[in-house]
Amino acid sequence: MEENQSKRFDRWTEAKHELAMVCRNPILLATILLVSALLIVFVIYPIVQVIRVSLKPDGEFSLDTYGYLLSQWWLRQTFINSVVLGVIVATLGTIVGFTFAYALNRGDIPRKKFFRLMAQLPIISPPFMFCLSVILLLGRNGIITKQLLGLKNFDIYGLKGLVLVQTMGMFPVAFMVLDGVLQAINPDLEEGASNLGASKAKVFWTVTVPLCVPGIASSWLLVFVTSLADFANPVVISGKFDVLSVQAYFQFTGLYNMPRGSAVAILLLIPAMLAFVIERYWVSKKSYVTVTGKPTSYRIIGPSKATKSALTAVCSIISGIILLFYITVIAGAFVRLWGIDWSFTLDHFRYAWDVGKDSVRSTLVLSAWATPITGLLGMVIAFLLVRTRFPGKNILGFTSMLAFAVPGTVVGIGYILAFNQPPLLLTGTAAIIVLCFIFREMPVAIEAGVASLIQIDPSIEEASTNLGADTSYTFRCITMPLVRPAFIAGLSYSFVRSMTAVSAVIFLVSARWNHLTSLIYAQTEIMRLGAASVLSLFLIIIVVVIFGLMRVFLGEPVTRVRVGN
Amino acid sequence: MPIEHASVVLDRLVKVFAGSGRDVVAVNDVTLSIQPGELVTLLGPSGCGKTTALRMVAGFEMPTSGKVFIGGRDVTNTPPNLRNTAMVFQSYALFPHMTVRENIGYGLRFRNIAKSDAGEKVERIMELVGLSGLGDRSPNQLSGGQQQRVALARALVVEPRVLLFDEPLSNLDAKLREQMRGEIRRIQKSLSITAVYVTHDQNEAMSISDRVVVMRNGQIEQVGTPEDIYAKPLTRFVADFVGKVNFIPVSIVESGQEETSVEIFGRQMTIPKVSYSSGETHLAVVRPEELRLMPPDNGFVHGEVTSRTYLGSVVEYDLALSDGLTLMAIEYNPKAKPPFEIGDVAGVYFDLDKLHLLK
Ligand SMILES: Nc1ncnc2c1ncn2[C@@H]1O[C@H](COP(=O)(O)OP(=O)(O)O)[C@@H](O)[C@H]1O
Ligand SMILES: [Mg+2]
Repeated sequence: MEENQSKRFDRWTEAKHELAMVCRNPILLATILLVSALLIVFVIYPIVQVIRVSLKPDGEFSLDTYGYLLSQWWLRQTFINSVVLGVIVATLGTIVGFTFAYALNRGDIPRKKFFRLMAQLPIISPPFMFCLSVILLLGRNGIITKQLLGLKNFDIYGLKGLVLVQTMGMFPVAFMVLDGVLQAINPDLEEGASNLGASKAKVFWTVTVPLCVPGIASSWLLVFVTSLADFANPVVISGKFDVLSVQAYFQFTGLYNMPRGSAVAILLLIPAMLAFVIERYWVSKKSYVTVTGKPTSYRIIGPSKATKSALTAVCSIISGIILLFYITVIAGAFVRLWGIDWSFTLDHFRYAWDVGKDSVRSTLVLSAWATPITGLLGMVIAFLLVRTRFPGKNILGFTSMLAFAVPGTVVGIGYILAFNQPPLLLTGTAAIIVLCFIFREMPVAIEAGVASLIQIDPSIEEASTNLGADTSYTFRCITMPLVRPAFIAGLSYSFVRSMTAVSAVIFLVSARWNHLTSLIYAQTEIMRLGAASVLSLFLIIIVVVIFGLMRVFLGEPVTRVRVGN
Repeated sequence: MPIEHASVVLDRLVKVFAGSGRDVVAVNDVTLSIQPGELVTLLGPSGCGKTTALRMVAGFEMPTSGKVFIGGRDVTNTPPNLRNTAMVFQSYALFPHMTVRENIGYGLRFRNIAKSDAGEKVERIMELVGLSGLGDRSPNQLSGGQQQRVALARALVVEPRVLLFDEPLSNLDAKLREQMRGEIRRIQKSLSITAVYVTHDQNEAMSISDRVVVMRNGQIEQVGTPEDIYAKPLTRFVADFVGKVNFIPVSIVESGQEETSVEIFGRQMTIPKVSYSSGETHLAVVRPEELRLMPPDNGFVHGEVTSRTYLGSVVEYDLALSDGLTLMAIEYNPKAKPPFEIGDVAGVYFDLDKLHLLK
């Protein structure tokens, strides 16, 4: 129609209308501007600073730093090491994660609750704890290597130790993704195939696995990013197997070579970003899981006896190792000198309390500040992303999720570089750590919020607006009560993450504002493994207690209520 | 309860959604004027833009172009919370964390009303819609019909200038639906409140409205009273959408002073004068209940009964004519006459005086 020509429509007109819509709602406009400003200053700007410093070593633009990195074989090797480690751990982690997810959803194995707990425990475990245990078990004075096997020169430091601790620590990332995928796949599909005469193995390989492929790819990439960004494990146990995150740290804080530290961090950032972008914009779009809306029924075709036993065995072994790690650390806290003097002592507690009480206090204070702000800001951003339209929303969404992809090392260096001069002179303050926590942990709060908001009928909020409430009143009195479970889940998660953060915060701690994890690292460095074990126990206890308190006072975070009529 | 009567005017309203790949013109140049106190229904198939039009009146969507006036004031740029419209949503959209009383009283929080007065208003409105005694329940303890009443009460209590309904009854069973639409009509009339009502159900539209607006592909197809829309549809689409219909080709032979001579079913006949010129063929809209079946020798044409559906109060017949046309006839009070059986041949007659020809 000719007439339609006059109504021709393009992105600009759309953007103009969205803008007009936002502008007639001042509170919304102010919120969007504020959030954007925060994201620019605390997410984008620090990364830009890292890039800038790496490209301007002496104030002049130059690629010398990168030239140096590439010309030195040992630095090239560092890069290769990180990627190789990432690939191995991503592969093993995905296999273990899938085994657990399959066993729990389709395997008909006994003690599901216990195994589910075990598959999630590593996520809330303090950093350093697993490698501490591994050293106590398999190190030079390890109880297994030295006491049981009598090995003299066994060396757990290096790639094999790293693969062990990272796989154990990171398979839960894959488990969570694949657990969700398997729960969402309608078992009728598999049942249908088996009714058609396909054997159990055939159903698995031709129906279940293909449906899981996008989920498996997602898991692999997420574990890869996690392994790449890991600092705590390699700094303790990598030995001569140098990786990027540790190298960046030593260049930056050990050698005070900021341009080179920054450049190494950028080398770390590139593969991490790549994996993240592939995961988010390609793999997760490919998921063709059939969500039926009703919970999975229990008409699950049981696997064969042999499969069931095998699944149970694998899950038991992995869970056994995790429990062994915990037991070892607890034992380590009470043994005078591991591997040499096995007598019982409380000295480590006395010592740990002496050196650690300030850190415990400051860690708690820092986390207590960061947690509610993260939860609230995350929910506000989730609300903006799900419920409002404004120009640039996609960019805001991407930026707010960026922290998922940016390794902590890059963030730590970025914060140091970005906030070391007025007007944002934050170095050495509590604020710099709190801000770092907020913007690093926000993505999870946002995701929880988004997941919960898209389940709530938007007309509930529209009804509120329609009856006269403005956006902020609606958010406070309607949205927040409805997304409460997700909000609490976001709070719990960001609290744990604040308590157990290492890779970024290690750059930001100061004498006045130390973090427990950085103290554990220092104790491990000087081989006071007993004290390090005690401090890890402190961390575990605090996390468990606060988790419990949050449940008591704020309600159950896990129950997902479906709201709407 | 005195409510300020407000007119609603949509002026050349257009809404385009930028879709991925192709843009969707949801509302395409809609102009409509609604009188104070009038209940106007937007009727049309799913996807024709009814909801979008309604949401522009409420302020949830910003028109791509065009304007919305409420009570003579241009509200195109007024945010929804300041428009004083009240919407009854298809999903009811009750606040699940509030009691019935809190739900209904919610809108009064923004209207400078003393707490005691607000409580009184809520009680009165609960009585009006038949919810007395349920004030302390939570919405999920109510039946669908009761939830519907809460949604209605919540909208009424704020004394809005315009009431907006988006398929409010589509989640109720047939019986309740009829009862509720009667009540909505009664309450709307007794408060003489301006209302815009969206539905895809023609029976609902016919029974509840002062005027019906039939929409198609974002455009208005026809505006008129229910009687007009049914008896004098302007287009084939309207005739087809509103009720069951036979389209019978009518060729104009000659237009006289008072009468027009036409050919129907190959027979020359005269009908009251129409303004079409000779030689043209137009479709006549004949409703099934206008057809009368008689013994084969009577009527204008005869056809074979191909199906018969007995529905209690009526019997529906399908007839196949020798020229390939099929007709549908509805006979009321089936007991009064011996029925036709499948395979019988019946004569068909209808009143030529009221024949309605489409353009
Ligand atoms: N928010 C939206 N974004 C994109 N397209 C939309 C949106 N809302 C409605 N549409 C499209 O506009 C058209 C009209 O929709 P709607 O007004 O809901 O129709 P109705 O209420 O008559 O069923 C449909 O094609 C629908 O897909
Ligand atoms: Mg609709």
